[in-house]
Amino acid sequence: MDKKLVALVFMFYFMFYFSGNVVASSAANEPIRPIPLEIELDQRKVSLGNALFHDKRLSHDNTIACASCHDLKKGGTDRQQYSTGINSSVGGINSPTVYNTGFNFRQFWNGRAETLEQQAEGPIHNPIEMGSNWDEVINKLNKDANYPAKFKEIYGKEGIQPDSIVDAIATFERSLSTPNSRFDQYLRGNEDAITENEKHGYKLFKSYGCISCHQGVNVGGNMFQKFGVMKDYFKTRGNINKEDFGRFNVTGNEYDKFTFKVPSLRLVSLTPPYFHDGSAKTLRDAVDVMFEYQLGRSGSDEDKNSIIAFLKSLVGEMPNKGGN
Amino acid sequence: MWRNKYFSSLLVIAAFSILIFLYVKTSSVNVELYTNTITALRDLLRIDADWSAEALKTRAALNQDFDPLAEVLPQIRSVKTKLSKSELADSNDGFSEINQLLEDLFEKIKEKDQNIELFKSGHAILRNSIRFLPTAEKELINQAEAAKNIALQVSVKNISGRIYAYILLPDTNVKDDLQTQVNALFASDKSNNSELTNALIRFTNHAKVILERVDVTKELLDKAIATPTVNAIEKLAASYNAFHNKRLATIESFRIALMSYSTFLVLVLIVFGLKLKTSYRALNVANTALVTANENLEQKVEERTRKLKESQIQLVQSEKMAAVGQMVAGVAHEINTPLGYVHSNIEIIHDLMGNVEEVIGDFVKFCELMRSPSANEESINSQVLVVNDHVSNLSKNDLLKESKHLLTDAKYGLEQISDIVVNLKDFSRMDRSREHEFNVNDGIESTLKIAYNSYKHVATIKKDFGDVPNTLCSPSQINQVFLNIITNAVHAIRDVDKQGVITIKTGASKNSVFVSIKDNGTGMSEEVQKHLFEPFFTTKDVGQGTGLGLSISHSIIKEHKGAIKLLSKEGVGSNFLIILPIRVSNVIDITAPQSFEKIA
Repeated sequence: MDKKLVALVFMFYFMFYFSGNVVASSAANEPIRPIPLEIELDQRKVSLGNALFHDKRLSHDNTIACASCHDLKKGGTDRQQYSTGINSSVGGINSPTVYNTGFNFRQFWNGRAETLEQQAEGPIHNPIEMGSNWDEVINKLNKDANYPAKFKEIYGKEGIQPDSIVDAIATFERSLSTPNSRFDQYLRGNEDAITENEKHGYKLFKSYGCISCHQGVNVGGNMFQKFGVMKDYFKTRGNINKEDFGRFNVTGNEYDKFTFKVPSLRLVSLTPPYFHDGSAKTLRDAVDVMFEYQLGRSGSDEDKNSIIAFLKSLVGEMPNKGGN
Repeated sequence: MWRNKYFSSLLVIAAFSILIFLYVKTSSVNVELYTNTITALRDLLRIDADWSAEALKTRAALNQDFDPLAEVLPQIRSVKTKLSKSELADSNDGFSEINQLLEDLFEKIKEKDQNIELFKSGHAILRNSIRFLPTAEKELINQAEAAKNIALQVSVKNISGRIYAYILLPDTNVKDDLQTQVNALFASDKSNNSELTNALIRFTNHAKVILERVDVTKELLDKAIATPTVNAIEKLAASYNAFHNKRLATIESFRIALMSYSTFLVLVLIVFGLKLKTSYRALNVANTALVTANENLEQKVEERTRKLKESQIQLVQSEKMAAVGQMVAGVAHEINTPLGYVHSNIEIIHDLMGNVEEVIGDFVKFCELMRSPSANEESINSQVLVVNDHVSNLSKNDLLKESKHLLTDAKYGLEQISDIVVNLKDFSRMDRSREHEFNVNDGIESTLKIAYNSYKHVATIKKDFGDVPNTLCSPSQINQVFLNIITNAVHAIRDVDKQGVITIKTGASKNSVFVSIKDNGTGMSEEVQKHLFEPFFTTKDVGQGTGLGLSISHSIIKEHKGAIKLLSKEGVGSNFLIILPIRVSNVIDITAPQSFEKIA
């Protein structure tokens, strides 16, 4: 083949790959996009879902609510390595944040739920989480002074049903977005919204290649990735358990082993510990692991700190929902 | 008849069922359902094309993030939900092929999704490594330069160049060769220079990633894009369309059947209509005949009624005759008694009158002797003695006085007989008209005379007759009623061992007269009272009564627009009250007189 032609095509190809760096300041072409400022939702459902989300009657022994592991005041997590369910059972996987889950393409670390509605069913039935079932939950909710009327008002005469319960909860969860972060403001054209260090951190985030997976509205949450691309994470960590197989547990495909949903980094600074195994206690620990096992690169402390500074600028406004 | 009706109903129901069946068969296609399904399939085609386009854009780095690829997923999910709820997922007969094709389509979508996800993961890594390789190369060359390892520098530059070329034009032979070279490069490091080693490791790691993934990632995307989703959609749509057309054709044939059937039904209806018209005519004829027949029937009914009345009258008559028959013995006795002494008186008178001829002869002789000049004393004296003897005999026997007395008695006896005969004649008269003036007091008297023989040894009659006006009625019938009731009273008293009293009261109110016949006999139980006026009801032994007496009495009084009432108590007695209107047109006053309320 003509060498000149090869060189030309080569250059052309590379222009695509590096174009991200060339047009960095143009928000439209940024790999991260701002969270919408408004999400249109049925506020009655949001309010009902809020109540259900905080209702311990969804668990068998009335001790655990969704909010027990997804504390809205703790970034939507419990900040524990593994969460504790009913009868003090401890699970084998780290609770991901409930915030911004509406932007995730699938739910759970292994993506086994395609929707938030499907997700909501999971913990209710998981014997080491809420350990209940629909009959029990519906029975309890029907005895409540307000629920039956509220459900009827929103969902018609069918009233309290599995579908209506998960719909309300999922709608509430969709309302849990954190828009208007300083970084989003920067993306929307406010150059001064973030510091120079944070801007530098963003640049590094992209140039080191974090952006390859952590991109989009949710800075992640829209793809799967193998944990330990450049180096075998689990060999180093040891004690491989079933949860470590990740998506393999869903598909049974060998190539899905150790593959997980790339988590959103929107509230990453608020939700330690990190990874599905909750093994990284600090954000810096997590960044180190990512550099070593995912990027296969080394990075200076300075660079990593800048990246962490950038990650902190991703935290947006918390929706005004305490809900007790 | 009933079976016929049942069969007809069944036939009509069957006819309508067929009609409804055909109608349902022609209207059961939900066109909207079909349109929605086809629209969903079309949407899916578009979404699928978008999906492929977004994947290609991602590979070409036109997409900076994976959101556009991820955003396709909810769209696919929504269409999949629609399709799962559509006809395509029906488990009915005839859908099995479509079900299979739908399943195939979902399988293809899943396959494509998996490949795209793999592409995304692989692409992200490949992109990083490709981006990083020049840096890694530079770092490694710098380290090699510092270590004065020219051979390494040359190899790295050579390998890098070939890798860049490989990225553009992946070639399996080149790939294997390069992988060998990279491995050799990695193994060639014998230095103890950790910086160089680290740089080498990084370079070779990323070089390996590139070599491993360039073709695989490309293949994954090619495979994803080549996933025959479009084909599956089109096959499904074609099969569904074919099914739908076939269904339409079926419906068309059902529609034709419906048309034919309804035409048939209309014809049947017309035929029925015509038949009905004919039938109507026939019915008319039949009706006329019926009217005639009806008139005849009326005549017949009238005749029958008349005959029935006749027989009723006969019945009344025969009952009366029976009653009279019962009376005959008594009446015969009644007649016999006066007849007896009339007979003996006449005989005595006849005996007394036996020597009157002789006396008269002797007197004639004496008179001749006296007048005769030739008569001698002796003969005259002897004659005088004879006559004197006669006279003394006559006066001695008080013959004349006796005869007169005897004759008066005989006359009374004959009058008595005559009376009985007249009354008997009244009873046996076949009078139908109620046009006779009749006084109930006379009626009772007459009846009592007839019945005398039956009660004379049983009961005494107490009469308490009021001043009653004449009523216009059939005397013989009313007498029959009186006789019947009195006879019953006598029978009732005869059955108890006590002195019987029959109290007969009469009276009148403004427009009616009443007769109360009270006895102190056995009385009647309530059960008996209930059936008292029913025909053939009797408490008497067989042969003792017809069981018609009171029933006939009842109908007689009813025919006279009167009323007959009974007050009776077992062991105490019975009291019959007969109320008759003075004129038939009068409405009787059925409130019984106070006295009637008493039985004993």
